[in-house]
Amino acid sequence: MKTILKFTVLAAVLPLLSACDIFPENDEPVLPEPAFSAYAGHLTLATPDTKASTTSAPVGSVVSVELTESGLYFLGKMADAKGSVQYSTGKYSVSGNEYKLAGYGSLFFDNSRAGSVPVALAPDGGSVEEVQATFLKPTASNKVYRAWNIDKTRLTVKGWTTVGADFDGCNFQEIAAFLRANSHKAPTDVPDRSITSLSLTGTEKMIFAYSDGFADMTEFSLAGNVITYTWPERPRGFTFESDAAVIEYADGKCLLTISGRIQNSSTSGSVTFVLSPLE
Amino acid sequence: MKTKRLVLLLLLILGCMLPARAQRMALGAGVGTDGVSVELATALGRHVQLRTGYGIATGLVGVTVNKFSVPEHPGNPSGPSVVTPLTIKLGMNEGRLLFDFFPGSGDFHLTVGAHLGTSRFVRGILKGMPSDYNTAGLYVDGYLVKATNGVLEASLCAKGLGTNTFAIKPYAGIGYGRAVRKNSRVYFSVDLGAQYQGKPFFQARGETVTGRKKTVPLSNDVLENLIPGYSGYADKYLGWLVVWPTLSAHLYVKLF
Repeated sequence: MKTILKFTVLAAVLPLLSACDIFPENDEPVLPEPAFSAYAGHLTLATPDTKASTTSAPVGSVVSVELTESGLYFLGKMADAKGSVQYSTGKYSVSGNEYKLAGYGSLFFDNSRAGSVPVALAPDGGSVEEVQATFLKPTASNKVYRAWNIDKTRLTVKGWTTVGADFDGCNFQEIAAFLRANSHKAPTDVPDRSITSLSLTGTEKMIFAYSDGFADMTEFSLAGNVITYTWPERPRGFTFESDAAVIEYADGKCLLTISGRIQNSSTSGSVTFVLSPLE
Repeated sequence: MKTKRLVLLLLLILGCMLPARAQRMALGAGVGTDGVSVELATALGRHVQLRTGYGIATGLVGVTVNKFSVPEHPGNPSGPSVVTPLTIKLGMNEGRLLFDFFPGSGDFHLTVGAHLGTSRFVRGILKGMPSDYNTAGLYVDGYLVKATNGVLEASLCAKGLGTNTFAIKPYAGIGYGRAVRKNSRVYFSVDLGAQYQGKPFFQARGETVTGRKKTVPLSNDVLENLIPGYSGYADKYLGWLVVWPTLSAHLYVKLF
């Protein structure tokens, strides 16, 4: 009787052996404060000529500088008379009031307060220009406000069934080729570039930096885990009609998912970036 | 992971049986439609016998369909196809707990119990898949089912009364022979019965975007898109496998 009892108990607990899960479903990464949080912010420059709106700034003049929490800068220059801004990027370091922007030169300004500040631009090999600027400092902190490396991109497309694909990093031509091979429309003039970093800053700028040295910047607002953004007028590479992205944390990674439709196509789906801190 | 659990299960069962060593015990090896197996058996009085053990059929009885073809690109079924050999093998891997009831003094017995273990029943393996399948595949509830180094595997599973990953398949049958006999060192036993395993369904290994792997069921909708008319085939043929006929023969050696 004792033996029967033991076997019965054993049989009853057997299903439990398959029910336990060694790993938790989700675990948020513990991330250190980005190294340049104290120096981060956004400078909107008025040019010496206009002293006013950046949209009327001369072509080639610096109109804005985003200084990210992770030590990357994005320097915006007026690209044409229509007001398009082209961004270049690199790392920066800070010494007192001097910001050394690798590949550009130096900025001098007092970063201790937000608002109107005088800024001296000292490009490498060029003359120093003094302009007035508005310095916007981050008012809130969030672990998502930093520069991220894109480890992996997962693309899902809804067609005859839902098909997904994983790509290391995020190369636009590789993804476009996949879409075309799987009978979905994809732009034919996709540039040969990869996303090297995605920065989400405390001044609510979302910035994609590319392997060819350029970058795209847009503004966003964060509510809960939803980012609502406005895509720039002249986007590069893929664009989505959706204006929202969702942030989640899983397995120690940050996931940013954008759902929507590819422009001028009936293809719907989503793109999920697996992000790890760039620092 | 499943194998570790089964080894753990076997050790637990052995642990339970050892205190009962005052009774007779036999060790058996067998073969049947449930694979090859090893069993421990003990007598619980004159009319009841308890058997527990482990059976495996993984990799046994394989056939290869050489003319199976798949779309070159997983998202483009109307595009060019590539011939990819499909190998089908049994995939059972189960522990078992069986009670034999001897109504008389002879060797005829009635058996009830259960087979417990992986729900995988049949494995289907596609080798040499087009390179696109290493990157892309079916997207099922957050998991991407794709090939690894050109190999894509899916399983026909049956859970009985258990879960999608851990099957509990009730067994009932008849048999002839006693595993444990007072005056015989070696004895032969044969059993004929059926396992209730429910309607089989397909599962495959999927991966989240962060690399977490899990076996996910492939719904009829997904498979209908892959294989037009699948639901009709499933209703017609998979229904035959709700009950798995089990014919097995064992040779037992008395331990003490």
